[in-house]
Amino acid sequence: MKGEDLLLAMGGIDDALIAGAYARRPRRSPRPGTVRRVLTAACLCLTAVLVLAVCQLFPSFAMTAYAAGGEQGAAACTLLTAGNRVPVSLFQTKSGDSVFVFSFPADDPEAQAWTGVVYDRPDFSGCLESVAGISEEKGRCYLYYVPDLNREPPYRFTFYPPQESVGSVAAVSVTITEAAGAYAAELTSVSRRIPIRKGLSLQLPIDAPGSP
Amino acid sequence: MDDSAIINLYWQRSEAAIAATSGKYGRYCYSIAYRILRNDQDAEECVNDTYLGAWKSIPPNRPACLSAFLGKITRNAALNRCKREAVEKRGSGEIKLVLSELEDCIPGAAGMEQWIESKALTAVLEQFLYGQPPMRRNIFIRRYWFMDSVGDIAAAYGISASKTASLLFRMRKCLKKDLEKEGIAF
Repeated sequence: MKGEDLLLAMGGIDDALIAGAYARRPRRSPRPGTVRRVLTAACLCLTAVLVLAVCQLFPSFAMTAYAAGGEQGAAACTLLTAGNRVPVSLFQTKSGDSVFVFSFPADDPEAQAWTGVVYDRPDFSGCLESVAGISEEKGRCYLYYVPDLNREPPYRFTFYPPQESVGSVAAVSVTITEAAGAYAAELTSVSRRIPIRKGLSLQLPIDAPGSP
Repeated sequence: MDDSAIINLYWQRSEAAIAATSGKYGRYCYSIAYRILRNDQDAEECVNDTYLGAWKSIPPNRPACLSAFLGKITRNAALNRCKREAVEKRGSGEIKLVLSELEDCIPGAAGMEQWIESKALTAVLEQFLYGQPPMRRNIFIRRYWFMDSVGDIAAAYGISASKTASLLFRMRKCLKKDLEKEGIAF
């Protein structure tokens, strides 16, 4: 076999030639298109990580805003999310205070209703009696905002809904505007989460700009 | 362990030399044998033959390049095995392809009855290879000494298989001219 002789003769070539070819065996370079695929996968991973990070830092937060005019004297509930303006009403308490009412789900759906008050009115006593038309449900946190009606709208307040289950708290800002005698609330910002120690969140005070 | 220490173990007739060789060059020898034989068991046996061959030939030899020395033993053992057992009849292995490719560069001159001594042929091959740029030279050696597949070589050098094949084709043509120039004919 003619080729065989050449093949056998190849076997006798210099060690240096063999060692050179063996030593210079380059690493496999990526197949065509592999680099693009790897880059695409890396970009997708990075995007996913960023989205997760943003979701973690700037969580979506939804609360319920209450307005008068529901069925059988009950308040009408509307979901209040960021960038969404929903109608709200001033409700009267037995003591004659005027309040806006909001609520959001509690960490523990079986927990008793939790209530917080944010007030701008300097002469507010700090005590809030039951609000007509609002019946507090189990597993929800209720937030009552007492505006200073001597001031012109818009009214703004910030509060810190505790989220003990995720060990963090975020600042939520709400703006209430008035147009033609009707109030509308808007969730204007939700801050990044601030880590908290477990068990501490429930002790966090509701923001009370008017309090001492 | 470096090569000189392994060679010293052979010279001391220490069986640790075999273990050291196997640890450092086992895969290398196996891959050479496997590319020729395309059979696990045959390749393993070839590697064992390599260790035995090294044991028998060191001493008196003291190879300057242990990898090439072992590679040559493995390659010869695999080719002999291939010839003896007609492994190519199993329809696999690079050897059939490599042989058919090398047929092309044997001059088809009239004086075919003369059998060229293998050493003379090797000398022309070496001269030809030393005259090539390193990359082309290494590609040729990888194809016809290590018997790597064209696809593997192409992937290793980051070039297409067709480019590798055409480069090898051009090199074979050059080699044929060199062989003709040297008056080598089969």
